Amino acid sequence: MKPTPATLTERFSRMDLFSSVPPDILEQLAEESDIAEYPAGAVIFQKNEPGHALYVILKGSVKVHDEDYVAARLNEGGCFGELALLDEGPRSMSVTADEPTTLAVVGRDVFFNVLGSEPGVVRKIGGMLTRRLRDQTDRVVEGLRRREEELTRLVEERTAELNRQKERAEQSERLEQQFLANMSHEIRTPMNAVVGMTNILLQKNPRPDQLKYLESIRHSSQNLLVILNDILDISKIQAGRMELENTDFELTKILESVGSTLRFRAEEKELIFKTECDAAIPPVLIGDPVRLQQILLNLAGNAVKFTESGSVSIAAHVLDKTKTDCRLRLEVRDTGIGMSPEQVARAFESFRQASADTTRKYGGTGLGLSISKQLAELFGGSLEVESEPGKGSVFSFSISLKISEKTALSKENAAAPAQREALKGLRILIAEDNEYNRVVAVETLELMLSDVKIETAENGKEAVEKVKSGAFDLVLMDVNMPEMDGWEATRLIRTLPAPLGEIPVIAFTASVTKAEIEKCEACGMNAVVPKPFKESELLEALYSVVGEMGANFPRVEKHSESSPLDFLTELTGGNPTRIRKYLGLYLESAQASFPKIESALAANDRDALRRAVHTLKPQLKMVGLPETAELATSIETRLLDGAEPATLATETRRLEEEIRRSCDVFGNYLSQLS
Amino acid sequence: MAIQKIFVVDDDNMYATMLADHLEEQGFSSKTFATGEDCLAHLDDEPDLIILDYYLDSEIPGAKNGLEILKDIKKADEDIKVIMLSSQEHYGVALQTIAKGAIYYVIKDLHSFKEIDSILSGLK
Repeated sequence: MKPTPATLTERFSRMDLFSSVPPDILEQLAEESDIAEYPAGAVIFQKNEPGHALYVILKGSVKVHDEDYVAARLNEGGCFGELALLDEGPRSMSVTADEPTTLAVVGRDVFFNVLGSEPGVVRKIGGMLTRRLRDQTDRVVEGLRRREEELTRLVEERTAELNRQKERAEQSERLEQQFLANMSHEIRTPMNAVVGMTNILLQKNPRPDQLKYLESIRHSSQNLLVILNDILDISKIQAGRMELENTDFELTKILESVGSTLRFRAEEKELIFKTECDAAIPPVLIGDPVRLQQILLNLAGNAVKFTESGSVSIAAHVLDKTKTDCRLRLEVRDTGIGMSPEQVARAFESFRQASADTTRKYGGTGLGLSISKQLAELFGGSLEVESEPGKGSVFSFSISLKISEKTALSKENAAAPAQREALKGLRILIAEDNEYNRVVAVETLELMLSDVKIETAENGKEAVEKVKSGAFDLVLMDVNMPEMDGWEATRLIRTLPAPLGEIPVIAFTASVTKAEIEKCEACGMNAVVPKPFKESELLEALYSVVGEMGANFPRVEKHSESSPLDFLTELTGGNPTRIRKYLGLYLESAQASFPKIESALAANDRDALRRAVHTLKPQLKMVGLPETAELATSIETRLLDGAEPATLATETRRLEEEIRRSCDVFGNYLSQLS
Repeated sequence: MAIQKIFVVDDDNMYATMLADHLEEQGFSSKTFATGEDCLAHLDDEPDLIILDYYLDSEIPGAKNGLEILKDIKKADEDIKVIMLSSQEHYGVALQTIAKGAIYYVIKDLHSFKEIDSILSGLK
């Protein structure tokens, strides 16, 4: 039923929007408004349509919406369209009837004509709009604030997560480094023992059947060492831990070394083995000779392995040379079984030789080529291969090396016998917790040096105590020991008063990394020898630390409060006459010994020298010169062992020197007494 | 039989003199000889005990060594007690001398005098 103007007026008067409007104006408004009816679902107006009326719901309900988003639902008494009414702009939302709805439509002109002088209405509309705007703004700001909080939280979480990951990665890297170092140590330590003990047994005249087994053990353990080193190398390279050295080396020596290692095997197979070194190659280069040799040995070893007839050759050519740098091409050529293109493509992959058959027939870990390839890359080169099945292969790589200013390197091998000589009679303390390693070290030193006196300590604490006794010239210190490690022990030793605190200490370690070496230097160690040690390295270290003087190295003696004449004083009850008498007899004997010693040396007469020295021994002890007595004893013992007097000239002269000095001292003493 | 007269046979003049003096101080009478041969020539002095150095040709080449002199002494008079002296620490040699009749083997170091003292007091 269509509402009457009266009903409409009454309806208007109940609306808050028109609360300030007097009833007669409302009547007029009601009369000039239209009435519209809509069925449910009818679109009253669309978003963006221009607005031109205010709508009042007389009956029913509508939804104010934008597509699926419903902004509001309005019921009886509600009104809409006021925003568009005021600013003439397009509608911001659509309005659709939810149910059959009757609307009063107040056109714009009507609205303003009738209500134009009613400021309260516009104010009301303004208030409504402002409130709506404020609400919206509040909601948006709230939304933004929450979003910002969330983002901040997300960023914090992400940063924490990344930090955790970074720490995990760093720790993983540390563990890996530690693992590699430990594994290296754990593997090498027992291997050291096996190889060392086997060598010692081989030198102790084994029975023929024992010899057979020992050779077999040695062969197997050497193979095992090669395999282990390969595995450790490849782990190290893959972990990015392999660093190349920068030392002076002679390329010709490397080629010679590889050649001499392989020549025998090559000759057994009746292969021709050649090495060629370009004359233009500088005599001394700077790089890592050990790793370079490793590559060449691997390539040439393979070449010999896979060649049944013909030749294997290693060649080095200069590609480019400046004053400071030199670019070389190194190649290993063979006339062996060769490789098919597929085999070439897979050649450098780890764990793969050309086929499983090859591994079975020719042996090996299959890692060698992979290691060589990666080493070549570390050198800045790239390992390439050209090959034809049945014809042979050429493996090559080019690298740049710096040129050293030296023109030659000193021949180290020739010096060994002289070094050994200088180290005779050394008193060595070995600090090592592992029983096997102790035995190996002691036996090796005893075989290597003559007349060496060795004692052992099982940990750093024991070592320090023994050093305090002053009975040693040198300490070989394992770095990893229980209770007190080698570094701590050395630090403690260095705090002792001179000369005890200055005793040379050589470190023994299974893991020789740059960090380890720095640690050794920092605590006062004089040299480092890697385990398993090579005799030549040990010899070098001993000689470098103890020097030319060898056993004549200023002996580390316990600081003695006693006087040389203590014994004579005690024996004679302090009787000066008797002391004088005996000192006199000593001086007589001492003076008499010089010509005897000299003529014995001149005549190289072993018996004469021995006689001359023999008598001095107890006399030196009695006048309080035990070290000199020791020297005399050691000379006599060596003579008894068959040494030629000529070889003992240095020590004998030193003995004379010490006796001469004692004669001066006692001579002065005697003249003061009388 | 109490020990009274002691011979000291050593070509090391300093040691021999010191030992002889020391023995005199302890109340013994002692004589020193530089060679074994000299000592043997004076056996009719009837020494009770002879302290004999092992390495007698250390000063005089060609002299008989201590072990041979020990044999000669024992041949001449079984009852003479002999203490061997040496600066050699070879116990193989020590056993030899004991086997040949020496009663003790003393090493010529700083303890030798005290050791000889206790041997002598043990023989009383």
